[in-house]
Amino acid sequence: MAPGNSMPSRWLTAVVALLLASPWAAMADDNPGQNALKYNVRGASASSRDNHPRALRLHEMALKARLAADDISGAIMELHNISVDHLRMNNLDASQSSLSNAMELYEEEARMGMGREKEKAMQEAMAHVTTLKAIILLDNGSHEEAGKWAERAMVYCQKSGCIDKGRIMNVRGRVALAADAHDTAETLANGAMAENRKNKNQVETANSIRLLAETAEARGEREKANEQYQKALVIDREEKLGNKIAMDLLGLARGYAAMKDIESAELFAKRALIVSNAADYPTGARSASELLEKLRQ
Amino acid sequence: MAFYSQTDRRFRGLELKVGLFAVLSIAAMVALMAYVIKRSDLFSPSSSVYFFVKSGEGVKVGMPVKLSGFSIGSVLQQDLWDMSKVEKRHSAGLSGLAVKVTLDIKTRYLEWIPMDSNAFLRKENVIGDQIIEFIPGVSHVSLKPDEYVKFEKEKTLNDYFEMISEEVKKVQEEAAKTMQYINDPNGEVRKAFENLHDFTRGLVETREKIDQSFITMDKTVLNVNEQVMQMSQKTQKAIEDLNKALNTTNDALPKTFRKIEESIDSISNVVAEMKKLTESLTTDLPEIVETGVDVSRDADQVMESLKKTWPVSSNIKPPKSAPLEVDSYGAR
Repeated sequence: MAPGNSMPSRWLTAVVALLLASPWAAMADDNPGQNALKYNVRGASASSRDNHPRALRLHEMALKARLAADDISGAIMELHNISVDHLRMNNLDASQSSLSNAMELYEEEARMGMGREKEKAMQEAMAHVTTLKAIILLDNGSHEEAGKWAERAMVYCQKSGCIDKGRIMNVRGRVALAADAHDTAETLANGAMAENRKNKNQVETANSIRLLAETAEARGEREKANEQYQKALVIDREEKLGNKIAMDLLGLARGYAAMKDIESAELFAKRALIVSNAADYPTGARSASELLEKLRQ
Repeated sequence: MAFYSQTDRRFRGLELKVGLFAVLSIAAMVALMAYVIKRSDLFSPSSSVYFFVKSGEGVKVGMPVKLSGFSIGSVLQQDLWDMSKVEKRHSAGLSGLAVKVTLDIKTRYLEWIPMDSNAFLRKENVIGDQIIEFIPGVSHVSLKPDEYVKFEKEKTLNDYFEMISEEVKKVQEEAAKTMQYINDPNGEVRKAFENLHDFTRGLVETREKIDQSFITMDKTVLNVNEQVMQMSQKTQKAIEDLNKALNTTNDALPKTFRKIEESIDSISNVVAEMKKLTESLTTDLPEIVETGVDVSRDADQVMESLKKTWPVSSNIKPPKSAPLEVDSYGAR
């Protein structure tokens, strides 16, 4: 000790040294489980920034780490994430293939037998996988098949006590609407809206309201449909979801066109076209252009 | 006799000897006759078949009839025949008076002659006797006794001469026409010859003109030669001037090339330096990258540890792995 150092200064030095050393003491182990968590979180971050190739790479690393740790439910979840990444890169085949791998993994594990806690985690992961499968099928026009997968998703969800019920109900509502079962679609949309509000899931709440609007539109109840589209539009604007805003605007344009208010219809269709182009939503842009063309004739 | 037999021993038993000789001779004669009769096929059964010809010329009674070069019978007889009494299918297209030729065929050979066989009258060799030969048909049914056979006459040399004579006549007629065409004073051939004659006469005149032209050309060539000589002198002078200019260039060019060489050397040095730098980077870069990864990992660990340290940890929620959110209105 250097001569002349006072007692308080010695104590201060000791505390600073302890504070500096504590991070090293608490340093994380480089084990597969923690690596998987790290890659999963970073993948989600990359996905939220629309950097899907990086998200895919990180999710693949996470899958490898999950498998290294024999974490099958985690692996199924990573396969789901990989499927979503492929889908967002417009690689439908690879997306479907990842989902098939996830289902195969679940079936193998089920044959081996699993503990209750593990089973719950697996079923929760499978609820996500089967919901995604249903959504993909629905987007590709196979609403009957999509309905079957949505039913399976609901079974997994109920068994695992998941909080994703509202989303699955929305999917089932869309399936019912596609099959012209308007009453069922309305019932499911109302149920989904209640679930989503309870879980404070704004995006899915807006989806439920839009589903109600579309059901009313299919029944020819134009005013009611427009009212619901307006409600959905408010939430979608809050959430800043370009393609959803475009869907709401298009619904409104169709409603006004049906009520012979051509000026308002054209206004909403133009707005839908601008939003679709800005949000890189080609389906919306195409629908808006076609509607504008019809209105001008 | 008794006297001779008593005096000469050779006359003893002469009657017996003569009688034995006579019996043996008769027996030998009978055997010879039997053999000859058997060999000559004289008593083998034979059958008749017939055909009709316009003329019996060349056909003679006793003429041999052959099948595949093997004698199977002979011509039995020839009769004049009124064809109006003959069935049309057997008349061989003949009408009026014709000759019916009957062939005597050994019956055992009939089975080898198909019903649709043809009989031909032909010469055995170029200068041989004439024969009648059967050319076998394809039918599975054999010729029956007293049946009609088709007959064809082989062409003789006379027939061939007649044919050749006809052809020669045609050629003669054509040749006569051609000669007439050539000799026609208004014909194209005569005119062509006249034109050729005129052309030959013209050629002589042309040759004279060509000779004159050569003489004129000689003079012209002499003039041209003089002019070329003058031009040559001028060209010589121009070449001398060019040589002077090239001498000047020759002095300047090596200097330029030397400068270019110096530049190339400099570039080579730069390239060599760059190569060294690249080699050095190739060795060092992976190490640099690895070090970067280590530093990054260390920083990561420091950050992770820091996050877990109080009071920082109280402000940070522990990370939780979660599935990516997928929208029920389309996953994309």
